[in-house]
Amino acid sequence: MAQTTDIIDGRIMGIYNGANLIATITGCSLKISHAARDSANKDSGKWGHTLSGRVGWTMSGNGKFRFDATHGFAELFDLICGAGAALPTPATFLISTQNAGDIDYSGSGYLTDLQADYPDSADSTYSFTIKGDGALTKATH
Amino acid sequence: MAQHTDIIDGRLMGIYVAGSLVAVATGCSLKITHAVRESSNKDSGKWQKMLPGRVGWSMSGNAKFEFNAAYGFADLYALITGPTGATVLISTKTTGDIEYTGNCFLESLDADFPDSADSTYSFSMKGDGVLTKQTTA
Amino acid sequence: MSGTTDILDGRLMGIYNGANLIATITDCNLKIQHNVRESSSKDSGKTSHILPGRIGWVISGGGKFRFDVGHGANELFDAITGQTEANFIIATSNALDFSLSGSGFLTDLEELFPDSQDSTFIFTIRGDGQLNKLTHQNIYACVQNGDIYLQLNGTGSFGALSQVSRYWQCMTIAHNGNVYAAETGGDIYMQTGGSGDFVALGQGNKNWAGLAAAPNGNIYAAVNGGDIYMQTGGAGNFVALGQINRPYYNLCAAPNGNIYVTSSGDDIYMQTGGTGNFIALSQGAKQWFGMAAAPNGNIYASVSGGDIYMQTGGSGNFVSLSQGNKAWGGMCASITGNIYTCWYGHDIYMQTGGSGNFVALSQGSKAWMALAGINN
Repeated sequence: MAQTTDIIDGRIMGIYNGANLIATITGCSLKISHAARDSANKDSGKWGHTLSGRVGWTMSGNGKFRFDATHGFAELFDLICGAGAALPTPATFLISTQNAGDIDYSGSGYLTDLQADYPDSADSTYSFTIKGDGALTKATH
Repeated sequence: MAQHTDIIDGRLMGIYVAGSLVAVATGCSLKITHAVRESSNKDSGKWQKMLPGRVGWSMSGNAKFEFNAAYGFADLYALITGPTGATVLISTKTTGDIEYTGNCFLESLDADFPDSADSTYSFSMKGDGVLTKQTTA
Repeated sequence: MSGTTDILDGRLMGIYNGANLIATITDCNLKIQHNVRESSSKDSGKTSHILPGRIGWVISGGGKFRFDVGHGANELFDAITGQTEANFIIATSNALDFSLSGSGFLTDLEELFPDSQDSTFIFTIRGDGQLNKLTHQNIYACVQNGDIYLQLNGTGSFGALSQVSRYWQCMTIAHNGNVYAAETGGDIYMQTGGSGDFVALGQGNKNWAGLAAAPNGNIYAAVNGGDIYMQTGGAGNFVALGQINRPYYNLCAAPNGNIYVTSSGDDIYMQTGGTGNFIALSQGAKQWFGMAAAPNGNIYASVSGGDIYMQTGGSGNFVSLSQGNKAWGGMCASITGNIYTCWYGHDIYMQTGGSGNFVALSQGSKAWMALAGINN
């Protein structure tokens, strides 16, 4: 299949934990920030002076809560807590349509937030945030 | 009258200051907090360690503003400007229900006078010492 | 019966304070936070470098205010003003769904009484220590010179697991799902994640007599006539704690982290908060044998040839429950508050929800020796 054309329907973008698509999500996002340094000083005159700083990234998503999900809340719980007494470990995350020709973004990160909500007589939901450790790579799928 | 059953209509609950019901109220609430201590250290492993801290409480309410209220803004004004502590009770005054009482100081008292609408006021009280839970006699 | 399938209706999820479902709630949620460390340095180049930090969790909920409920806002008032640490569980009523449980403090309770509308309450619980994901409420039982048995999801018959016949003496289930069983005069064995065979851990042939899994992941093992040992975080060797050699039998771990052990013909001992020495509780020289810690904090102890006793809320004396003199063996608690014990050579017994009599489960006359559930 060729590269997806026109405005992307958000439905086709997913977040993958390794090779596993995180199930039943209703939204996902990628945020990249560059902590540029404000280096204005007396020599800068009336204009601000900015220098480059460090780049960071987060991925986040939300979905419907299911006990029988293939890769859902339960698996993310194991990731955020780590096994036994061991510290949590970073994992590879990918945001992708899985369509050849489209652009994927991937990197290693830690799950930092995981929340589940159970409202009365409404769908249970969950949300999660991944904080990147190191580079975020852009690649053509 | 016996204990109220089922979900309590908020209308039934009132705040009593030194025995007097705050009049023409439109809502009231009770809040209790326990300020746990974050005591994580190197021996805690990867999980946060908590220890008990101090318990605090507050009551707050809001009401319509009347100059001739039996117990209203003017009375609470005297309390907050004293400043004087008082015994406060939140209760339905129905035998068998549960009520909460303690000593407190009025912390805030706000009045609002919008154009062509009811004047209202709100207040909050901060507990001093124990909040007692008791069955309404 | 199967686990809940498809998108979960939020109505099915509840919050339990110990064994008590918090009544009339309209919402509940769980938040887990991993506070990673920003560890960027000059060597990190242009991208941030993150390292693991500490994990915390919060359960919160809200509901309709009633005076006439079993466990509602008024009971939460007692918990917050008592600064009581308790075991909280977020779970459905379907035993095949996973549940999340941990020890914590109530930190906020607000009751709201708006004019001519439903009165409501909201509350927040802050976790102290580990949050455990529990996939089953399975109950294990072992038979001396026999097999290990499993009651799936806490209902029905105990089925044999076809393990090698050994002089099984004690069992426990760790909070990560690993199941331990020890053979007196033999080794300690472990079943990984609750499935497969029990495999020897190479801890040496000792008169292993009791096992318990602490909420922080440590596993305790007691040797009859010997010391008490501990495996840190459920990995590695069991290391001696240097306790006085006594005729130890069973152990249990309370939700607040206290560890109890019976010493037959002697006393019951307790280690506070999982550190330090085990101190005598002066409960009298009985043939103390089994122990179990219920989710609500009550501690049970059985006497071989005697009665079953209970310490309310983990403090004070152990009081007789008048269950009749029997050769009571090991004990355990389920996540729902059922308490199990066994009568050696006879049957397995269960007390429903932590109250009333222990009733026989008709599991056949076997040399039942020990049981394992949650918080054993």
